[in-house]
Amino acid sequence: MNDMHDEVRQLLRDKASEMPPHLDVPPSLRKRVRPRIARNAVLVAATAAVVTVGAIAGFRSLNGPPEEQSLTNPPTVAGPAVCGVEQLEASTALEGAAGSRVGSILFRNAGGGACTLSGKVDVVVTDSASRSYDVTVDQSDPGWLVDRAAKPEGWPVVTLAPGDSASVRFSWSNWCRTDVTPILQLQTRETGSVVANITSGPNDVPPCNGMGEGSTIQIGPFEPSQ
Amino acid sequence: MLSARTEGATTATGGRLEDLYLRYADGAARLAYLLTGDRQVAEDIVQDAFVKLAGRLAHLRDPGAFDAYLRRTVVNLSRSYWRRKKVERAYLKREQGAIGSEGVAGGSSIEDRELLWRAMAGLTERQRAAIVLRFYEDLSEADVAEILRCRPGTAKSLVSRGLEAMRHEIRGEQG
Repeated sequence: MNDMHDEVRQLLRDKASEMPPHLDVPPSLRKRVRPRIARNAVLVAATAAVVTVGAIAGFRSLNGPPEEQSLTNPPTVAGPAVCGVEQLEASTALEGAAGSRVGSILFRNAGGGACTLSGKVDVVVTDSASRSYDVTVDQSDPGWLVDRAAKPEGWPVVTLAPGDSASVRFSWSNWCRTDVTPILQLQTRETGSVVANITSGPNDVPPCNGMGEGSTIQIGPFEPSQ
Repeated sequence: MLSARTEGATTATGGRLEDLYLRYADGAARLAYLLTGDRQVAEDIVQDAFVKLAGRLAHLRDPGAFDAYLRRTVVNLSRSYWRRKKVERAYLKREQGAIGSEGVAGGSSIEDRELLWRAMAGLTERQRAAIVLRFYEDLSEADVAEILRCRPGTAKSLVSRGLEAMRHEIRGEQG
Protein backbone atom coordinates (compact mmCIF):
# COMPACT_ATOMS: atom_id res chain seq x y z
CA MET A 1 0.00 0.00 0.00
CA ASN A 2 2.75 2.41 0.96
CA ASP A 3 4.62 1.50 -2.20
CA MET A 4 1.62 2.64 -4.19
CA HIS A 5 1.48 5.87 -2.21
CA ASP A 6 5.14 6.51 -2.83
CA GLU A 7 4.81 5.71 -6.50
CA VAL A 8 1.90 8.06 -6.89
CA ARG A 9 3.69 10.76 -4.94
CA GLN A 10 6.79 10.41 -7.08
CA LEU A 11 4.77 10.30 -10.28
CA LEU A 12 2.99 13.52 -9.37
CA ARG A 13 6.25 15.29 -8.56
CA ASP A 14 7.85 14.13 -11.77
CA LYS A 15 4.85 15.13 -13.81
CA ALA A 16 4.59 18.49 -12.08
CA SER A 17 8.18 19.25 -12.95
CA GLU A 18 7.28 18.96 -16.62
CA MET A 19 5.47 22.28 -16.42
CA PRO A 20 7.64 25.17 -17.56
CA PRO A 21 8.26 28.03 -15.13
CA HIS A 22 6.23 31.21 -15.34
CA LEU A 23 8.73 34.01 -15.49
CA ASP A 24 6.44 36.80 -16.60
CA VAL A 25 2.80 37.69 -16.57
CA PRO A 26 1.30 36.82 -19.96
CA PRO A 27 -0.01 39.89 -21.83
CA SER A 28 -3.28 38.04 -22.37
CA LEU A 29 -3.74 37.81 -18.61
CA ARG A 30 -3.14 41.54 -18.12
CA LYS A 31 -5.67 42.22 -20.85
CA ARG A 32 -8.31 40.04 -19.22
CA VAL A 33 -7.70 41.26 -15.70
CA ARG A 34 -8.00 45.02 -16.29
CA PRO A 35 -11.70 45.15 -17.21
CA ARG A 36 -12.47 42.68 -14.43
CA ILE A 37 -10.85 44.89 -11.82
CA ALA A 38 -12.57 47.97 -13.22
CA ARG A 39 -15.95 46.26 -13.26
CA ASN A 40 -15.54 44.99 -9.72
CA ALA A 41 -14.44 48.42 -8.53
CA VAL A 42 -17.58 49.96 -10.01
CA LEU A 43 -19.75 47.25 -8.49
CA VAL A 44 -18.12 47.64 -5.10
CA ALA A 45 -18.50 51.43 -5.20
CA ALA A 46 -22.16 51.17 -6.20
CA THR A 47 -22.84 48.56 -3.54
CA ALA A 48 -21.07 50.63 -0.90
CA ALA A 49 -23.13 53.68 -1.85
CA VAL A 50 -26.40 51.77 -1.65
CA VAL A 51 -25.45 50.13 1.64
CA THR A 52 -24.34 53.44 3.14
CA VAL A 53 -27.51 55.26 2.16
CA GLY A 54 -29.61 52.36 3.40
CA ALA A 55 -27.70 52.12 6.66
CA ILE A 56 -28.08 55.84 7.34
CA ALA A 57 -31.78 55.74 6.59
CA GLY A 58 -32.22 52.62 8.70
CA PHE A 59 -30.21 54.02 11.57
CA ARG A 60 -32.22 57.22 11.58
CA SER A 61 -35.53 55.45 11.46
CA LEU A 62 -34.52 53.12 14.27
CA ASN A 63 -32.65 55.42 16.61
CA GLY A 64 -33.18 59.03 15.74
CA PRO A 65 -36.19 60.92 17.02
CA PRO A 66 -38.48 61.33 14.04
CA GLU A 67 -38.54 65.05 14.27
CA GLU A 68 -34.78 65.20 13.88
CA GLN A 69 -34.97 63.75 10.42
CA SER A 70 -38.00 65.54 9.21
CA LEU A 71 -38.05 68.86 10.96
CA THR A 72 -34.77 70.00 9.51
CA ASN A 73 -36.31 70.13 6.10
CA PRO A 74 -40.06 69.88 6.44
CA PRO A 75 -41.66 68.77 3.24
CA THR A 76 -42.95 71.46 1.04
CA VAL A 77 -46.70 71.47 1.16
CA ALA A 78 -48.69 73.04 -1.58
CA GLY A 79 -51.99 74.46 -0.44
CA PRO A 80 -52.74 76.41 2.74
CA ALA A 81 -50.40 79.21 3.71
CA VAL A 82 -48.36 79.28 6.88
CA CYS A 83 -50.39 80.52 9.84
CA GLY A 84 -49.61 84.10 10.80
CA VAL A 85 -49.70 85.53 14.27
CA GLU A 86 -52.77 87.57 13.37
CA GLN A 87 -54.92 84.52 12.68
CA LEU A 88 -53.89 82.41 15.66
CA GLU A 89 -55.27 82.53 19.16
CA ALA A 90 -52.69 81.16 21.59
CA SER A 91 -53.44 79.94 25.07
CA THR A 92 -51.69 77.94 27.70
CA ALA A 93 -52.78 74.80 29.48
CA LEU A 94 -50.18 74.39 32.20
CA GLU A 95 -50.15 72.75 35.57
CA GLY A 96 -47.72 73.00 38.44
CA ALA A 97 -45.45 70.01 38.78
CA ALA A 98 -42.38 69.68 41.02
CA GLY A 99 -41.49 73.33 40.86
CA SER A 100 -42.25 73.59 37.15
CA ARG A 101 -45.13 74.44 34.88
CA VAL A 102 -45.92 71.59 32.57
CA GLY A 103 -48.53 71.19 29.86
CA SER A 104 -49.05 72.59 26.41
CA ILE A 105 -49.60 75.75 24.45
CA LEU A 106 -52.53 75.74 22.08
CA PHE A 107 -52.85 77.58 18.77
CA ARG A 108 -56.34 77.94 17.42
CA ASN A 109 -56.92 79.02 13.87
CA ALA A 110 -59.22 81.97 14.30
CA GLY A 111 -58.95 83.02 10.69
CA GLY A 112 -61.27 82.40 7.80
CA GLY A 113 -59.07 79.97 5.87
CA ALA A 114 -56.91 76.99 6.47
CA CYS A 115 -53.27 77.49 7.38
CA THR A 116 -50.33 75.38 8.42
CA LEU A 117 -47.83 75.21 11.23
CA SER A 118 -44.81 72.99 11.14
CA GLY A 119 -41.49 72.24 12.75
CA LYS A 120 -39.74 73.26 15.88
CA VAL A 121 -40.58 76.27 17.97
CA ASP A 122 -38.33 78.80 19.64
CA VAL A 123 -39.28 80.88 22.66
CA VAL A 124 -38.11 84.35 23.54
CA VAL A 125 -39.05 85.68 26.96
CA THR A 126 -39.60 89.43 27.13
CA ASP A 127 -41.47 91.92 29.22
CA SER A 128 -43.93 94.65 28.36
CA ALA A 129 -41.02 96.94 27.57
CA SER A 130 -39.62 94.38 25.09
CA ARG A 131 -36.64 93.65 27.28
CA SER A 132 -35.55 90.03 26.78
CA TYR A 133 -34.46 87.65 29.51
CA ASP A 134 -32.05 84.78 29.46
CA VAL A 135 -33.87 81.52 29.25
CA THR A 136 -32.45 78.20 28.13
CA VAL A 137 -34.76 76.67 25.52
CA ASP A 138 -34.49 72.94 24.88
CA GLN A 139 -36.36 71.08 22.20
CA SER A 140 -38.41 68.13 23.36
CA ASP A 141 -40.23 65.29 21.62
CA PRO A 142 -43.76 65.73 20.33
CA GLY A 143 -46.56 64.43 22.50
CA TRP A 144 -47.59 61.71 20.08
CA LEU A 145 -44.11 60.25 20.27
CA VAL A 146 -43.98 60.45 24.06
CA ASP A 147 -47.40 58.81 24.24
CA ARG A 148 -46.30 56.15 21.74
CA ALA A 149 -49.23 57.08 19.55
CA ALA A 150 -49.28 56.86 15.79
CA LYS A 151 -47.62 59.69 13.91
CA PRO A 152 -50.32 62.16 12.94
CA GLU A 153 -51.09 62.28 9.27
CA GLY A 154 -49.04 64.91 7.53
CA TRP A 155 -46.77 65.54 10.48
CA PRO A 156 -44.54 67.53 10.90
CA VAL A 157 -46.90 69.78 8.97
CA VAL A 158 -50.07 70.51 10.86
CA THR A 159 -52.90 71.86 8.74
CA LEU A 160 -55.47 73.89 10.61
CA ALA A 161 -58.90 74.40 9.17
CA PRO A 162 -60.72 77.40 10.63
CA GLY A 163 -61.44 76.60 14.27
CA ASP A 164 -58.88 73.79 14.49
CA SER A 165 -56.06 73.85 16.99
CA ALA A 166 -52.46 72.81 17.11
CA SER A 167 -50.35 72.46 20.20
CA VAL A 168 -46.81 72.21 21.44
CA ARG A 169 -45.63 70.43 24.58
CA PHE A 170 -44.29 72.94 27.03
CA SER A 171 -42.63 72.96 30.40
CA TRP A 172 -40.97 75.82 32.21
CA SER A 173 -38.98 75.84 35.39
CA ASN A 174 -37.28 78.35 37.68
CA TRP A 175 -38.43 81.87 36.99
CA CYS A 176 -36.93 84.20 39.62
CA ARG A 177 -37.81 87.60 38.19
CA THR A 178 -40.91 87.87 40.25
CA ASP A 179 -41.02 91.59 39.53
CA VAL A 180 -41.60 90.92 35.84
CA THR A 181 -44.64 89.55 34.07
CA PRO A 182 -43.02 87.52 31.34
CA ILE A 183 -44.29 87.49 27.79
CA LEU A 184 -43.59 84.35 25.79
CA GLN A 185 -42.93 85.10 22.17
CA LEU A 186 -43.14 81.91 20.12
CA GLN A 187 -41.46 81.70 16.75
CA THR A 188 -41.11 78.96 14.19
CA ARG A 189 -37.50 77.87 14.20
CA GLU A 190 -37.50 77.35 10.46
CA THR A 191 -38.47 80.85 9.45
CA GLY A 192 -38.24 82.85 12.66
CA SER A 193 -41.74 84.16 12.11
CA VAL A 194 -43.69 84.95 15.26
CA VAL A 195 -46.77 82.83 15.79
CA ALA A 196 -47.81 83.99 19.26
CA ASN A 197 -47.13 86.48 22.01
CA ILE A 198 -48.50 85.12 25.26
CA THR A 199 -48.62 87.23 28.36
CA SER A 200 -48.15 84.82 31.22
CA GLY A 201 -50.91 84.41 33.71
CA PRO A 202 -50.20 83.74 37.37
CA ASN A 203 -50.54 79.99 36.86
CA ASP A 204 -48.17 79.97 33.89
CA VAL A 205 -45.07 81.21 35.65
CA PRO A 206 -42.96 78.65 37.50
CA PRO A 207 -41.64 79.32 41.00
CA CYS A 208 -38.07 80.37 41.67
CA ASN A 209 -36.01 77.32 42.55
CA GLY A 210 -32.63 79.02 42.66
CA MET A 211 -31.43 82.44 41.64
CA GLY A 212 -28.23 81.29 40.05
CA GLU A 213 -29.58 78.28 38.21
CA GLY A 214 -31.23 79.93 35.24
CA SER A 215 -34.65 79.50 33.77
CA THR A 216 -35.31 76.59 31.44
CA ILE A 217 -38.04 75.98 28.90
CA GLN A 218 -38.61 72.73 27.10
CA ILE A 219 -40.83 72.93 24.06
CA GLY A 220 -41.87 70.42 21.45
CA PRO A 221 -42.73 70.85 17.78
CA PHE A 222 -46.18 71.69 16.45
CA GLU A 223 -48.59 68.81 16.39
CA PRO A 224 -52.34 68.47 16.04
CA SER A 225 -54.11 69.32 19.26
CA GLN A 226 -55.59 66.26 20.94
CA MET B 1 3.17 22.27 -4.48
CA LEU B 2 1.34 25.55 -4.55
CA SER B 3 4.15 27.43 -2.92
CA ALA B 4 5.72 30.79 -3.54
CA ARG B 5 8.76 31.17 -5.71
CA THR B 6 11.57 32.80 -3.81
CA GLU B 7 12.69 36.41 -3.92
CA GLY B 8 14.25 37.60 -7.22
CA ALA B 9 11.23 37.01 -9.35
CA THR B 10 8.86 38.67 -6.93
CA THR B 11 10.55 42.01 -7.28
CA ALA B 12 10.49 41.93 -11.04
CA THR B 13 7.11 43.61 -11.35
CA GLY B 14 5.38 46.30 -9.42
CA GLY B 15 1.70 45.53 -9.20
CA ARG B 16 0.16 43.24 -6.65
CA LEU B 17 -1.30 40.87 -9.20
CA GLU B 18 2.03 40.60 -10.97
CA ASP B 19 3.74 39.79 -7.70
CA LEU B 20 1.18 37.15 -6.87
CA TYR B 21 1.37 35.68 -10.35
CA LEU B 22 5.12 35.36 -10.23
CA ARG B 23 4.94 33.87 -6.76
CA TYR B 24 2.16 31.39 -7.29
CA ALA B 25 1.65 30.70 -11.00
CA ASP B 26 4.19 27.87 -11.14
CA GLY B 27 2.58 25.97 -8.30
CA ALA B 28 -0.89 26.62 -9.66
CA ALA B 29 0.09 25.43 -13.12
CA ARG B 30 1.60 22.22 -11.76
CA LEU B 31 -1.48 21.53 -9.72
CA ALA B 32 -3.73 22.22 -12.69
CA TYR B 33 -1.63 19.97 -14.87
CA LEU B 34 -1.82 17.12 -12.40
CA LEU B 35 -5.55 17.59 -12.13
CA THR B 36 -6.19 17.77 -15.84
CA GLY B 37 -3.28 15.97 -17.40
CA ASP B 38 -3.07 18.59 -20.12
CA ARG B 39 -0.47 21.33 -20.08
CA GLN B 40 -2.33 23.75 -22.28
CA VAL B 41 -5.52 23.27 -20.31
CA ALA B 42 -3.51 23.76 -17.13
CA GLU B 43 -2.16 27.08 -18.40
CA ASP B 44 -5.66 28.19 -19.33
CA ILE B 45 -6.96 27.22 -15.91
CA VAL B 46 -4.21 29.19 -14.18
CA GLN B 47 -5.09 32.26 -16.23
CA ASP B 48 -8.77 31.80 -15.48
CA ALA B 49 -8.01 31.43 -11.81
CA PHE B 50 -5.97 34.63 -11.69
CA VAL B 51 -8.61 36.51 -13.65
CA LYS B 52 -11.25 35.28 -11.21
CA LEU B 53 -9.22 36.27 -8.18
CA ALA B 54 -7.88 39.53 -9.60
CA GLY B 55 -11.13 41.38 -9.11
CA ARG B 56 -11.40 40.14 -5.55
CA LEU B 57 -7.88 40.85 -4.37
CA ALA B 58 -8.92 43.88 -2.35
CA HIS B 59 -11.80 42.01 -0.76
CA LEU B 60 -10.27 38.71 0.22
CA ARG B 61 -11.09 38.07 3.85
CA ASP B 62 -7.54 36.90 4.41
CA PRO B 63 -5.17 38.22 1.72
CA GLY B 64 -2.40 36.21 3.36
CA ALA B 65 -4.23 33.06 2.36
CA PHE B 66 -4.13 33.84 -1.34
CA ASP B 67 -2.51 30.52 -2.09
CA ALA B 68 -5.43 28.70 -0.46
CA TYR B 69 -7.95 30.73 -2.50
CA LEU B 70 -5.92 30.03 -5.63
CA ARG B 71 -5.68 26.31 -4.89
CA ARG B 72 -9.41 26.06 -4.37
CA THR B 73 -10.09 28.00 -7.55
CA VAL B 74 -7.72 25.84 -9.58
CA VAL B 75 -9.32 22.68 -8.23
CA ASN B 76 -12.81 23.95 -9.00
CA LEU B 77 -11.85 25.03 -12.51
CA SER B 78 -10.15 21.69 -13.12
CA ARG B 79 -13.20 19.84 -11.96
CA SER B 80 -15.34 21.93 -14.25
CA TYR B 81 -12.98 21.03 -17.05
CA TRP B 82 -13.35 17.38 -16.21
CA ARG B 83 -17.08 17.57 -16.17
CA ARG B 84 -16.99 19.05 -19.65
CA LYS B 85 -14.59 16.42 -20.77
CA LYS B 86 -16.42 13.40 -19.50
CA VAL B 87 -17.03 12.08 -22.95
CA GLU B 88 -13.42 12.60 -23.92
CA ARG B 89 -12.29 10.82 -20.81
CA ALA B 90 -14.39 7.81 -21.68
CA TYR B 91 -12.82 7.85 -25.09
CA LEU B 92 -9.37 8.09 -23.53
CA LYS B 93 -10.16 5.12 -21.32
CA ARG B 94 -11.04 3.04 -24.34
CA GLU B 95 -7.82 4.10 -26.00
CA GLN B 96 -5.83 2.95 -23.00
CA GLY B 97 -7.03 -0.60 -23.61
CA ALA B 98 -5.11 -0.63 -26.86
CA ILE B 99 -1.82 0.29 -25.24
CA GLY B 100 0.53 -2.52 -24.41
CA SER B 101 1.16 -3.34 -20.77
CA GLU B 102 4.37 -3.06 -18.86
CA GLY B 103 5.26 -4.19 -15.34
CA VAL B 104 4.92 -1.71 -12.53
CA ALA B 105 6.56 -3.69 -9.78
CA GLY B 106 9.75 -1.71 -9.98
CA GLY B 107 7.95 1.59 -10.39
CA SER B 108 11.03 3.24 -11.81
CA SER B 109 10.85 3.03 -15.58
CA ILE B 110 9.36 5.73 -17.77
CA GLU B 111 6.86 3.18 -19.07
CA ASP B 112 5.72 2.36 -15.56
CA ARG B 113 5.19 6.00 -14.78
CA GLU B 114 3.22 6.53 -17.97
CA LEU B 115 1.10 3.53 -17.11
CA LEU B 116 0.38 5.00 -13.72
CA TRP B 117 -0.28 8.40 -15.28
CA ARG B 118 -2.76 6.89 -17.71
CA ALA B 119 -4.39 5.07 -14.85
CA MET B 120 -4.86 8.40 -13.15
CA ALA B 121 -6.51 9.73 -16.25
CA GLY B 122 -9.16 7.06 -15.85
CA LEU B 123 -10.21 8.28 -12.41
CA THR B 124 -13.24 10.36 -11.75
CA GLU B 125 -12.46 14.03 -11.35
CA ARG B 126 -13.16 13.87 -7.62
CA GLN B 127 -10.89 10.87 -7.12
CA ARG B 128 -8.15 12.51 -9.10
CA ALA B 129 -8.47 15.77 -7.26
CA ALA B 130 -8.40 13.98 -3.91
CA ILE B 131 -5.29 12.02 -4.85
CA VAL B 132 -3.44 15.06 -6.21
CA LEU B 133 -4.31 17.18 -3.18
CA ARG B 134 -3.38 14.38 -0.80
CA PHE B 135 -0.15 13.18 -2.39
CA TYR B 136 1.12 16.21 -4.27
CA GLU B 137 -0.11 19.08 -2.15
CA ASP B 138 0.40 16.95 0.98
CA LEU B 139 -2.87 18.19 2.42
CA SER B 140 -4.58 16.44 5.28
CA GLU B 141 -7.82 14.59 4.63
CA ALA B 142 -9.63 17.37 6.41
CA ASP B 143 -8.12 20.00 4.11
CA VAL B 144 -8.85 17.91 1.04
CA ALA B 145 -12.41 17.54 2.24
CA GLU B 146 -12.74 21.29 2.69
CA ILE B 147 -11.58 22.03 -0.84
CA LEU B 148 -13.78 19.33 -2.34
CA ARG B 149 -16.64 20.37 -0.08
CA CYS B 150 -17.19 16.95 1.38
CA ARG B 151 -16.67 15.21 4.71
CA PRO B 152 -13.18 14.00 5.68
CA GLY B 153 -14.42 10.43 5.55
CA THR B 154 -15.53 10.99 1.97
CA ALA B 155 -12.15 12.50 1.08
CA LYS B 156 -10.42 9.48 2.57
CA SER B 157 -12.71 7.19 0.62
CA LEU B 158 -12.07 9.09 -2.62
CA VAL B 159 -8.32 8.62 -2.19
CA SER B 160 -8.50 4.92 -1.35
CA ARG B 161 -11.03 4.15 -4.06
CA GLY B 162 -8.98 6.14 -6.54
CA LEU B 163 -5.84 4.23 -5.72
CA GLU B 164 -7.78 0.99 -5.96
CA ALA B 165 -9.13 1.98 -9.34
CA MET B 166 -5.61 2.77 -10.51
CA ARG B 167 -4.38 -0.61 -9.33
CA HIS B 168 -7.24 -2.28 -11.09
CA GLU B 169 -6.52 -0.36 -14.26
CA ILE B 170 -2.84 -1.26 -14.17
CA ARG B 171 -3.59 -4.91 -13.54
CA GLY B 172 -5.95 -4.87 -16.44
CA GLU B 173 -3.33 -3.41 -18.71
CA GLN B 174 -0.80 -5.93 -17.50
CA GLY B 175 -3.18 -8.62 -18.66
